[in-house]
Amino acid sequence: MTDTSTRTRGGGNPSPSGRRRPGRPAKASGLPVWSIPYLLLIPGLLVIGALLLYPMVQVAIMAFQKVGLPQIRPVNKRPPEWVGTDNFSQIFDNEIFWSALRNTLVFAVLAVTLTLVVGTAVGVLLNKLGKKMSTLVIVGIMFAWAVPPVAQGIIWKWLFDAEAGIINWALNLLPDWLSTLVFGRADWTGEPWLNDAWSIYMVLIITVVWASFPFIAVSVLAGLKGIPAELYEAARVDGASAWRTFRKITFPLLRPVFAVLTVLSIIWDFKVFSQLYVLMGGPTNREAFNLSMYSYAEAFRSPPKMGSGAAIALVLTVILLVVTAVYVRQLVKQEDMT
Amino acid sequence: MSPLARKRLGKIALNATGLLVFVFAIFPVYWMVSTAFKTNDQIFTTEFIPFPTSFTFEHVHRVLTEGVAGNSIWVYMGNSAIVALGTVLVGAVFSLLAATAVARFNFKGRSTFLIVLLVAQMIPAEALLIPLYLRVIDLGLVDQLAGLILVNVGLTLPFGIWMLRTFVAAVPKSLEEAAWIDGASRLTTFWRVLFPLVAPGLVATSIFSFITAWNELIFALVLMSESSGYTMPVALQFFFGQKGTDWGAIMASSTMMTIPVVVFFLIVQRRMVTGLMAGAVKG
Amino acid sequence: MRIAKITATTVTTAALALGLAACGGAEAPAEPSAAASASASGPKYSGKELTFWRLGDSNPAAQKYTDELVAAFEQQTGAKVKVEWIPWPQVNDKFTAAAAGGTGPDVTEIGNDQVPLWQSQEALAPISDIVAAGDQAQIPKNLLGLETIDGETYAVPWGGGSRAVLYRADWFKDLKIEIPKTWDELVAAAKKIQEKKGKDVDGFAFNGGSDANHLLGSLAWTAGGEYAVKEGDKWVGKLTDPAFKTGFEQYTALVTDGLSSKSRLGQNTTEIRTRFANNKVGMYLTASWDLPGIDEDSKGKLKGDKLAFFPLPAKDGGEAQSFLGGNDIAVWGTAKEMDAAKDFVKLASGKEWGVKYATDGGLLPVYPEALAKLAEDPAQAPFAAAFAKAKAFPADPNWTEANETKAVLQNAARQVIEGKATADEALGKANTELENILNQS
Repeated sequence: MTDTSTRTRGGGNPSPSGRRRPGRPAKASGLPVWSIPYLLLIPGLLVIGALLLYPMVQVAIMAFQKVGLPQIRPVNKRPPEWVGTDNFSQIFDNEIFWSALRNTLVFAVLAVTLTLVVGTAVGVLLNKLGKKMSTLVIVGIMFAWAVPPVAQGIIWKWLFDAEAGIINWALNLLPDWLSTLVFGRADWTGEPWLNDAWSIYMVLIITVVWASFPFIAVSVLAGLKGIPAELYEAARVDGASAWRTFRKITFPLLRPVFAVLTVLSIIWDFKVFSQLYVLMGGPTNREAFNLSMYSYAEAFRSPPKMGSGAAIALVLTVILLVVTAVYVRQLVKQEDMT
Repeated sequence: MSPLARKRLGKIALNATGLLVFVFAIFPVYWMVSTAFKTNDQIFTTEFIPFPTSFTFEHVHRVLTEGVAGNSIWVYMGNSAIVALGTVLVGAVFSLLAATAVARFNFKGRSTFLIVLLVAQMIPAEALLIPLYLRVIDLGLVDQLAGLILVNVGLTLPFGIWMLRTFVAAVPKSLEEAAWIDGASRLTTFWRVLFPLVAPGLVATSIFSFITAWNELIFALVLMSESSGYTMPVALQFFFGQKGTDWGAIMASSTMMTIPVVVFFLIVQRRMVTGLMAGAVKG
Repeated sequence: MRIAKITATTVTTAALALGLAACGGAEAPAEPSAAASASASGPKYSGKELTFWRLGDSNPAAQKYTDELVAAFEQQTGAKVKVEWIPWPQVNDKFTAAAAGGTGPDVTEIGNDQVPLWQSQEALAPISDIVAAGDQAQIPKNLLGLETIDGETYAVPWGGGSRAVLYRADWFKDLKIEIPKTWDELVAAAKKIQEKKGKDVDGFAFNGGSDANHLLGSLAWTAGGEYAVKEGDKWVGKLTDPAFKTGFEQYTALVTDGLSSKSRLGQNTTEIRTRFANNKVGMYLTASWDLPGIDEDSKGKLKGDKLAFFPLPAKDGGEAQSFLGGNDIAVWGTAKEMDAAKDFVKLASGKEWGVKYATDGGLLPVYPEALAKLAEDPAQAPFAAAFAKAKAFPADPNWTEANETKAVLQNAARQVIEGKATADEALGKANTELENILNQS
């Protein structure tokens, strides 16, 4: 999976590449060789430019405008109105924004941490299991990984259902004294898990961790397989404990893998939408909005306020870019230096 | 305790943990499928009924005939399939071209392009919802699957290129050079030498795009207002509320939506990991 | 949502008197009725197709009425009419998408409290000429309060209605419960139902969903409260008034006293109706348009004398202020077939089809004679009684944002029910927010 060919030929030499290999035939089309990569890039660039970069610029512009239905409809369109920073002062004044921001951040931290911890633990476990058992477990976690986000939300909504949900049934199974000791109550019948913001997020975290730990586990397993067995052998001879071995050998060697997994998890968890949408049943309980949901509700619930929606989306993007900037810089550096 | 006994005990503990993980991962999926085949009496109960002893196809039948929001589930499955396949077809061609350019050529602006790809991946799709919605309106593609395909191509392309370029780069250059020396044209070389070797990577990338498009909810939610154009993720929302929550039907439909993804996952399991990781880790 | 105000002065008799007066004056204009004009000019729209949005569930009665109406129009004009049903909870999303994408219908049904909002978004076409002449001129002018903005009328009232308490008459009989005359009796009845019919039954269902304010409003108005009043050109919130608070606490107490389960804080009338059809609700506030749906959802088991209505009782007896309003029919602003659309509205809201719409759909007709006749029917008495005490939500385009999108009062109630705030704190915050929303330009 390393791509040495790219690296050895990579940047540092900005001259058009075709020149480097004299005698390479320029064929058929009659186009100069140097133009070929650009031609190949045209469709991709067009798509990325038109569907990602330019829209992002539009978001940044709209965040300072008032954009409602009269400004976007195809017939008899009105020009958008500049409102300066009104959209921002309006959302910052609203408590929905602050609870959405808090929900987004707390959820991301908890979900990412838990996913990584559970995933790594399972990855290490898989590496230790026998062949048959590990295949069984891999197939099992594959199922959890494959379930579409909407279906994930549906499944866990059903498991946590107040009346016929299996979670309340299982909690009722606990001996009363234990349940009372731990939770301060014995009867769980009809417990509405999807009502309060905090319990919605608890269910959401379980859902997201359940669905995303398999990827971490399998990636960690792949990484572990690449570590020479001698290293562990040596550690064992030295009498190192399992934890020490993990800390001194496994973790440092897998550091790049963890870096990637962390960033991917952050990107995925920061803007979780589908599962939350299903668990809440649309943007209903405003205390449980995250930034994605808040932006959606502002922009698409009547009357549509695309400007404030864009302002919230911009805040979300900036946070995400700042959080992932470190990673991007590192990748860019590698790209430039090698 | 003898070392042997300890070792054995440790092994049992390991396997038990493995089994626990297996159950944690699989049970919710199993519960979805089993609910889909239970009668309503067995669904709406406070008891735990592990197997659908009153096995029934009534829910499956109902979602296929009566469906939800006025159409059979087949209509929505079809829409989802069209969107996902359309995304894959367009995306595969575009990403293969771009990946070849990036992995096989050294040209001015290459690093810039790679940075753009990276940054594009970091932009949350939700942030693009509003402008893309307006774009689709401008193009007159509201309520058309083509609009949804367009959006999905945009959302999956950067990652597709990023992932595929490692597969292209992994094909030894010497093979192509040998072909050139034999006088083959670039196109022939590409088609005869590079393409077959990259094909497995292309399959993995395509499946990734397929799944992304298949699962996409938020754009479909705002772009499709006619029920005949809903994709599965949107259609599933309509089981809630409208006529009360019909869990049997919901689970039957969710199961149908999940099956294609599971099949694809099992096919390309190993490559998905390699691809996702390789897509993101450089060097 | 579906039903909004008909001005407070709309007492049955007043409406009747006004209507008769209007009736006398309206016959004069030369404009012939829609039916006559259409038949005179023959199939003038042959080959054209109209899209017509109806709101709600396509229950058999509503479906039959619509089919007949469409058939009559098609026969008279030669146009084709495509009907699409939009469930109430999705109406706003659907309207938004249509207005944004230019994909709207030609004609749509619309809740009359929604008219100011969609007029402000320029989604409706002015149709003042329709209400100025023909049958429609008989519709009392005070019923056009929400529909007329800056002198132009944007929708024709189609049917009015008010809400009363729908209850399980068979359970009341079994359990020997008398029809509650005071709020305390209602609470006692609800508790008794829960005792005998199971803990998962809601004695009186709490509505915290998109149309929660129909229930909250009734309670708050009865206690003498108001949401907001317009002083000059500014809305001033009245949620912190003691009277509103009394009603609000009555509302939240439905859950905190256990009459309705805490697990369904977000349910709207549609969801309550489904639970009612499945024997999980003893009483809830609604109107007779829910009956066909209940019949269908219960597979024919719940109908006839198993259920009945009584007027929502006030705290110390007497009838509560019910929320009152109606459904309108309007021409979409970007209708492709504007003329045909107007003719369709003319036909549908004319006396023949307008009265039929109301009577078939369990609403009150907007034509005074028909209304007077209906008021004699004892089954309609609760509604007629409620009709006399109509109250309104603030008539402002931004009301929908407070009512549904931001769910200001629903959120306040949730805070109180979950113990995160006292009623005073929650209402204080809600009041500020309501003022901000209503006063934005």
